[in-house]
Amino acid sequence: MLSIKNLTKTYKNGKEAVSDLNLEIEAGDIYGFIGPNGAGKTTTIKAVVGIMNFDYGEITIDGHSVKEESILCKSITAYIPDNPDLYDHLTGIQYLNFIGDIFKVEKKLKEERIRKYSDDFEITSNLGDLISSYSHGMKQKLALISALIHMPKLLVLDEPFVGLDPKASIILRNIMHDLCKNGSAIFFSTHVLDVAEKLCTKIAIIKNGKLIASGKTEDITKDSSLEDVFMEVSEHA
Amino acid sequence: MLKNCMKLFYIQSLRLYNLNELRYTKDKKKKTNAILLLCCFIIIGIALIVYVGALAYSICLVGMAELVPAYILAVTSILTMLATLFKAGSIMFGARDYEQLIAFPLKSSTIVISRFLTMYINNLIFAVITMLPSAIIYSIFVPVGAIFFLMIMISVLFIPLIPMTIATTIGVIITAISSRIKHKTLFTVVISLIATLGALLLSMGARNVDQVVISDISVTMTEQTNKIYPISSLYTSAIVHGNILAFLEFIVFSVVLFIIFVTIVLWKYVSINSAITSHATKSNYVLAEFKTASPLKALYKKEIGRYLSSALYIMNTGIGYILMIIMSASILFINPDKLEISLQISGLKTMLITLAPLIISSMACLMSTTVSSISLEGKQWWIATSLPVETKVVFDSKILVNLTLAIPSTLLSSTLLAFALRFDIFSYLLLYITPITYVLFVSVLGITINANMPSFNWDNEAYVIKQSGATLIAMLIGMISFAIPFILVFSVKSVPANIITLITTIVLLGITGFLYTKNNMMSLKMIQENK
Repeated sequence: MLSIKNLTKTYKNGKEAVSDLNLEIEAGDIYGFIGPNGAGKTTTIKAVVGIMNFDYGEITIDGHSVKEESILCKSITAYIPDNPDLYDHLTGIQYLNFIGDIFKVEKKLKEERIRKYSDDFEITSNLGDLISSYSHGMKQKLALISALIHMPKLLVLDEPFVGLDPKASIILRNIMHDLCKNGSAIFFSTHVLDVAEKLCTKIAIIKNGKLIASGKTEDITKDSSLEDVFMEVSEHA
Repeated sequence: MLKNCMKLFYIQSLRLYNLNELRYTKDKKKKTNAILLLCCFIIIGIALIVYVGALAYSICLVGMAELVPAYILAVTSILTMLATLFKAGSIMFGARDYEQLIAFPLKSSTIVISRFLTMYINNLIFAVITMLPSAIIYSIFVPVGAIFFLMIMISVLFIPLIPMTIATTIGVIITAISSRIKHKTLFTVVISLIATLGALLLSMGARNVDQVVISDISVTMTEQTNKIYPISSLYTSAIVHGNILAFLEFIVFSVVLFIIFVTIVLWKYVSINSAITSHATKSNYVLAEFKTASPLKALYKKEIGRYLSSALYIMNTGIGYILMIIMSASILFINPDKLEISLQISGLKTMLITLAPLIISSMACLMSTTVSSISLEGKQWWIATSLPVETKVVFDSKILVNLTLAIPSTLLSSTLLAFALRFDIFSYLLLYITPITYVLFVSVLGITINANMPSFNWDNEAYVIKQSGATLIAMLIGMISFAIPFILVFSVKSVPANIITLITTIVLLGITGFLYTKNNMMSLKMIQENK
């Protein structure tokens, strides 16, 4: 579903944010991307979703190049950044309608999905309020609903659990499982190692822009916890 | 307090003038852009110095040198007031860093004064540019001593205080009332519009000197100047007659007025900010029937919503169209022949007929909404870049907002003028085609400039709408675009004005088409990297 080959991104100040990164994410994978602050997680994610250029390498989504066929790739992907700044001047429902229209989601499907996910996240009654009045968690929930309106083949999330209450976190995890059962793939960054260990089918660890470990969660953790593995590889890499 | 105030001012200035980015960036493009921007500032500064110098010189030439300091003071103060009026409310209140600052162990007065200081510096530069050249011209005609220049130097520091205090007080009152009203934007726009038109009418009063015989003109102009700006008489007494007491009175009056203002603002600072930052929610929404729209329509609706949510954005971009309609209506309702006689400008009617398409165009391209529409996305720009839509669709939705405002206003103004003045068929066509072309040009140019000079990291939308480099460059290019045909009409007499207007229209259409194609080839993600 998502293939990253030799991804390299150097910033204008000369700093190499990501160096020769390779990842393969298949349909049905819940792929956790972990690493310390400034490791290159967000840069990689932004390159994948086509909002940041990269110098070398190739990224393909469902066989389509994000450089050559960016619109097609974006139409089958959904992305939520770590701090979802949404259009404050719109109401929640206006924002969801806007996203639905941009992704050309059929009226009936749009209605069905908005109803389902806003009920799941318990924000249906708030959809008529301006986004500027929302708390961080509510914005996060709204961003998640907007990402699900077009049933993406690839869902890319940057720190999706930050700001969510425990119930919403559980709902999100269930949604992630459901999506993967239906053939989508999820690629997300997180600092919550406990969640990553329980939720992810595969994990990649990145440090200083370089991939230092990747594979099935059970192969990476073996007999120890993900926390121990993370500490060990990040100190010795 | 002063130390903290200066620290806050320093932090605000770093952001306002992008000083840190310029200092630490290794990006050559950013440095080149900054140098270009500095050149623009210098060009505008020089043009202003020349204009003020020429104005002062012409007043001195007709034997009214004594009027120069007070007249320039009045003009400077009125312009400072108008410039401050729109942005004061949003700079003083509603800044995104308010909650962060108010949580610090700082006095509210420190925050208020630091915000005022940010506006003061810009206005001080303006006062220096207008007052010093006029003082030099004055000293050529009237023998003055060192004390004159000393008083000028000191007074320049205090000149922005009164107009800024008045404008900020009006801005604060508007913000305070609107924070309690449901339709905040509409209220702010209407009140700001009334205040602006009032100030414009007041300043136009100074020109009603037609019924005065020439021997009395000096007295009348002095009276008019004092009427517009009463403190001018005190200033004249201080600067022209060397009255130290009047000079001290001027300074004390400015400072006392400022202190009263700070006290009043402080009284309600936290409560107004709380009212602005807190939101009433209904939380009773029930899902109703859904509608669908095309991506362009969805983006356009979003852009219109953004436009209507900001009073500052509306006022800053809509004022040109309002003035344009008022001007055209005035020409229709006040018979041009009578206007020619009452203003004592011979050939005014012919001039209006010749220049009508260009006059409407010059007002139609005062400020396009597109110049700041990309920057205004701010931290939400990630949404546009991650959506599965072509660059063209995103840009078109922004251009359409400006066209929605500009096309009806332009057509209405052209029609009013078409009824007011008699044109031949060719001129009738130009009356509609030329302004529409200018509107298309500035709309597309705004996108070009903003896409190359975006500013996404802002705390207050006033910085993007009123003070960004993109705004300045767009204004400059807009002015050049209509100044060239104006100059050509007056200097190349052998070519009819209509032909010059037609050639200008064709050239602009070509440039617009070129820029539009080039804009649409941009990648949205590259714009983020231009910042």
